[in-house]
Amino acid sequence: MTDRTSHDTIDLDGLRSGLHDLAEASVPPIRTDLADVRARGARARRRRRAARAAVPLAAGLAAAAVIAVPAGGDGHRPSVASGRPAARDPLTGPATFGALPAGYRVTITDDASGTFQLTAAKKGGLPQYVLSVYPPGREPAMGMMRGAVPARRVPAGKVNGRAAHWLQPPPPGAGTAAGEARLRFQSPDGRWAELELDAAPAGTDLAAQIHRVAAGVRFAPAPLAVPVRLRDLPAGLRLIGTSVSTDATSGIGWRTVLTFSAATRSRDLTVTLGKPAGDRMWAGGRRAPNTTVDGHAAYRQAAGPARTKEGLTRVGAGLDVLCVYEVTGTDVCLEATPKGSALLKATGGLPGLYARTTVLGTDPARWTSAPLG
Amino acid sequence: MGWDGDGTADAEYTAYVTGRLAWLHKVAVLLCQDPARAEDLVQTAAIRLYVHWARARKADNLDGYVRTLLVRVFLAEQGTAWWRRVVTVRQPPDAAGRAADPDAALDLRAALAALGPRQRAVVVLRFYCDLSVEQTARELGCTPGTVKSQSSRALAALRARLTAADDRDLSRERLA
Repeated sequence: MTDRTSHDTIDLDGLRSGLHDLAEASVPPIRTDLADVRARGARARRRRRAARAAVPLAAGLAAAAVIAVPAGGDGHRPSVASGRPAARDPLTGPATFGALPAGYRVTITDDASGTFQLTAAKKGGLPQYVLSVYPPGREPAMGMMRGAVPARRVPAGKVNGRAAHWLQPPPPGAGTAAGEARLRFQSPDGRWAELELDAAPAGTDLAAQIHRVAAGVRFAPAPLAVPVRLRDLPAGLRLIGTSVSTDATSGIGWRTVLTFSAATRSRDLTVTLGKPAGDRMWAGGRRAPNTTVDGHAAYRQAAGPARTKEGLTRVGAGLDVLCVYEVTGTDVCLEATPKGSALLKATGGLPGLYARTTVLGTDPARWTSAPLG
Repeated sequence: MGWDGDGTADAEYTAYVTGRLAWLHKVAVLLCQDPARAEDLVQTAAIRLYVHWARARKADNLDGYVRTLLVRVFLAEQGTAWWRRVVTVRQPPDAAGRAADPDAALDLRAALAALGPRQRAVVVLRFYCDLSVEQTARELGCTPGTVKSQSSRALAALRARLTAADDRDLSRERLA
């Protein structure tokens, strides 16, 4: 790997071949005893059947009794216990950074999961601040630090007069590496946020830096702008996630992803825009063109079986895919599950959707916060 | 004897797992960075596959099903004490193979080992198994956004460590 990395980027082809080399070199001759595996599997199946047969009895007992469940070791429960969070508009973020230290700029806005995340980084992606804003409700579980070390709550100074604590205190202890620390603090409306600083230079006063940036976070709705507009999407497809990454030199690269769902929790249509130049991850995973669309090189894969070069079935082989390259400075990739394809069929499928797609280019001044219409 | 009475399912299972053991071991060793522990992971996944074989054999993508089992076994056992892991082997371990470039392999192995388990899983699925962000999210049972942020952090950490290793090599070369 020594000739394949630089200070600014990581060569993903190099990483791929390095991983293959490592896997080949690390695996001793196989000595798994399949007869024993089968015997143990058979015992496990018998136990499962016995447990299943006992369920009605157990359920009856549970209904008849009031069971006191003690809290976890720190008297704390995961946020999922507080109920399903209210649906949020994936085109409106709940917070923005205030003043950032010199050289940092917002590089990633991710509203594609239940937790909103903002990343501000220096060129190349490090050091970086990552702000996570959790859904309203109880504080999420503490989770794990590096090396599977359970995070622990360590008292910290308040942030704007509101509760705060470290997940591990700086300077690093178990579960942290030099130059990183994670602070949790409450927003004015009581929801929890977390600010992580990664790869700070030696000598950085981590506690002071993180407190300063945390104190500057503004908790107010903020529209997210995206570089694309989509017309006449089927009513059955609902936008559930938005991710925008604007630093081509970072690990993710320049990329925007809009995710749509036809039902609860499924991801039935993704619209991805990636910038080819300087985007190592996109370049590494770009599918070779096999057609042209509107004069642009393009890749088309109708849903169907596909296998890797090792003969293994690819996950997602049922996806319908259309990628059109170098459209107003970006690549556009549309992917639909069978359910998404069925909803798009009446309006021309993915080619029809592409015809109703307007790419707004790479200048954020031209982007829109109302991409659907 | 298999659970279908005539042993057909047993034979199918054995044929499938036999053909996939080497591949599963490679994925496992990248996930956990320990060849012995990788065997435990593969065996645990293989046992679970046996338990669910009646359903698994009907899956459109059996390889993806098994890989998901393996990754989830790996993530679930992070908090499990070593003594609770059961080894099912016939012989003591043999010597591992050799990398084409031992220094580079050591650098990458050390850099991978420094990642958290979920970040390592993301790197292995994205860049060894060659899955997309969305496919990786499905295998890990999380959102594409989480995969992207984990991936970004993992790549940044790998880059920092590999660059430091490069600098160390250069210093050694200058001193030599």
